[in-house]
Amino acid sequence: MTEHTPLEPALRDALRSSTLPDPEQQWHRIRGRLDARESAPTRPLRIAFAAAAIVAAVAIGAAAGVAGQFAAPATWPMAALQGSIGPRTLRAGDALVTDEVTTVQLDVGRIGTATIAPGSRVRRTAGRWSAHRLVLDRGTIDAVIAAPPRLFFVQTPSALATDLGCAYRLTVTDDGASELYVSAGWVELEHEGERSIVPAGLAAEVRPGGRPGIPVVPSIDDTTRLALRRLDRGQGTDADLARVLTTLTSVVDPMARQQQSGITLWHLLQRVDGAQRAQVVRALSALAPPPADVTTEGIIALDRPMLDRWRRALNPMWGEESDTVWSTLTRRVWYWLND
Amino acid sequence: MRDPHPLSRAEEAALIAGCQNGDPAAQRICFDRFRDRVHAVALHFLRGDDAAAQDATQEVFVRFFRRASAFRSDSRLSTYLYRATANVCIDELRRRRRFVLVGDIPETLHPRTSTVESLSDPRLVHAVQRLSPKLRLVVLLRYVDDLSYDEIAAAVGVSAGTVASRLSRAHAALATALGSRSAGAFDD
Repeated sequence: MTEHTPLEPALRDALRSSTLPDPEQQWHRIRGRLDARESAPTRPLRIAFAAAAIVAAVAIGAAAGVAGQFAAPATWPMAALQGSIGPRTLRAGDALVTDEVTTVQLDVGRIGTATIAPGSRVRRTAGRWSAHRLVLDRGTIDAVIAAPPRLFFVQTPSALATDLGCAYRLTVTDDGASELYVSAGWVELEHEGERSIVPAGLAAEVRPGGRPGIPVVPSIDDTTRLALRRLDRGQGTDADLARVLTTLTSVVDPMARQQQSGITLWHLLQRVDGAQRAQVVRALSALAPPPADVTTEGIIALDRPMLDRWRRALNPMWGEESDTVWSTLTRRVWYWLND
Repeated sequence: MRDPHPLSRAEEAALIAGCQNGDPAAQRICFDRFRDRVHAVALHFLRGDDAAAQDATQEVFVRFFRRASAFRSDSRLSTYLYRATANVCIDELRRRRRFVLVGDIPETLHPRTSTVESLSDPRLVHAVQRLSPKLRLVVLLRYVDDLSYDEIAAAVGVSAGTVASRLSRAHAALATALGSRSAGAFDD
C-alpha cells in the first residue's frame, strides 16, 4: 500500500483550503442553542400536547373541516413566472435554487403564495408544529398569506420571520442580514428571544448575530435612520434621540403618526434606558395616550402586559394577535391534523 | 489543516473535563481548535453545500457540548467529533428526499462557497464529492486531518483493514475519474 502518491499532496491542498465562514456568528448560534435548551419543551410535554390535540379533535369535529381548508399538501406546486423550471412541485426536504433570470411562484400549501426572486436559495422543511416552513438562505421572497397567524415561517441566517397574516418581502443579503418590508398585515422577526413586530408600511433589518432592528418607515431620511440604529444598539446620544423624536412626531398624517411612528417609538422605548426611555414615553404619550389601565410607571418598568395593551391601542390590527384559549386550542388541533 | 500544535493527552483531558462541566471557555477553545476541520469534512461530504455544512458544523458542536458527560476518556476528541460530523451529514443526506435545481447548477449551488470554487484543482474536489459516502468519508478524514488508519477506523466504526480497503478503492475511483492525469498515480 503506497502512502505517498503524486495526487495525495493535491488532495490535501484541495480538501484543506476551506475555513468556516464567520466563526463568531457560528459560535453565537451554538451558545444560543445551548442556552435555549432548558426552555425547550420536553418530550413528555410534547406527548401531552399531542394527546390534548387528539381529544380536542374528537370533541370539535367542525374545527377539523375548517382546519382542512388550510391543510398543507405533501407537495407544493410551483411555476416559473420568468425563465424556466424543471420540477413542478416542492416537498419537505427539497431545495429550490433560482438562477439570475428565473422567477418562481410557489404555492404555500393552500394558504398563500411565495414568489422566489432570481438568485435565491430556498428550502422547504417540515416541523412538528409548523407545516408551512421555508428556509431562505439567500435572495428574496415575496409572500402573500391568507391564514390564521403563526402558520407560515421563514427562517433566514439571522432571524425567524413569523407570518401574522400578511404580505411581505424578505431579503437575505450576501452577508446573511435579513431585510423585511411588510405591505399588509404584520410580521414578527425573532432572533434568540429578541423580537420586533413589524406592521404594514414599516421595514426592519436584522444583522447577523444581532437582534431584530426597530421597525421604521423605509422612506425615513438617512440621518434619522442612522440615529435610530445607534439608539437601538445602545450607542445613541441625546442629539440622536432628539432627531428621531422630531422626525417621527412631525408626521402630518395622523393615522401614520399613530400606527407607524407610534410603533417605532413603542419599540424604541424598550431599547433605551433611563432618561432617554422616559423621554420616549413622553413623546409616545403625546402622540397617542396610553389606555386607561396603562401607567407611565409600568411602561418605564417595561411591564409586558401594559406594553402589549398600549401596542394594541396604537395599531388596532394587533388585537387579532391576541392568544385566547380557543385560538390556542384550534391552532393545536390544526397542527395535529396537518403534522 | 492538521493542528500544528496538537494537544497533549493531559491538555485534551482538561479540555474535555471543562466541556463536561459546561465551561463556556473550554467549549470555545474546543470550537476554535476544531471548527475549520469539522467544517471542511462536512463541506465536502455534503458535496460543496456550504449552507448545509455550516448547519452541520453547528450541530456537531451542539451535540458534543450537550452530551459531553457521556464522552469516553479512552477516545480522542477529534475521533469523536469526526464521527459526529459523519452522523450529522448522513442524517442531512437522508433527510433530503431530492434536491431541486433551477438554472445553471454549479454557479447557483455554490455562490457563497468560494472555498470550493477557488481551489487549485476543482476537478479533484468534484471527483472526491462524487465518491460514494463510505469512500468519501475515509478520504476526507485521511486528507483533511492526516488521521492514521487506526484513527479513521475509530471514527468510522470499522477495522483498520476496511479503512485501507476503502482508501484503495477511493484512489482507484479518483484515478478513473481524473483520467490521464492520475493514471498510475495510486499504486496500491
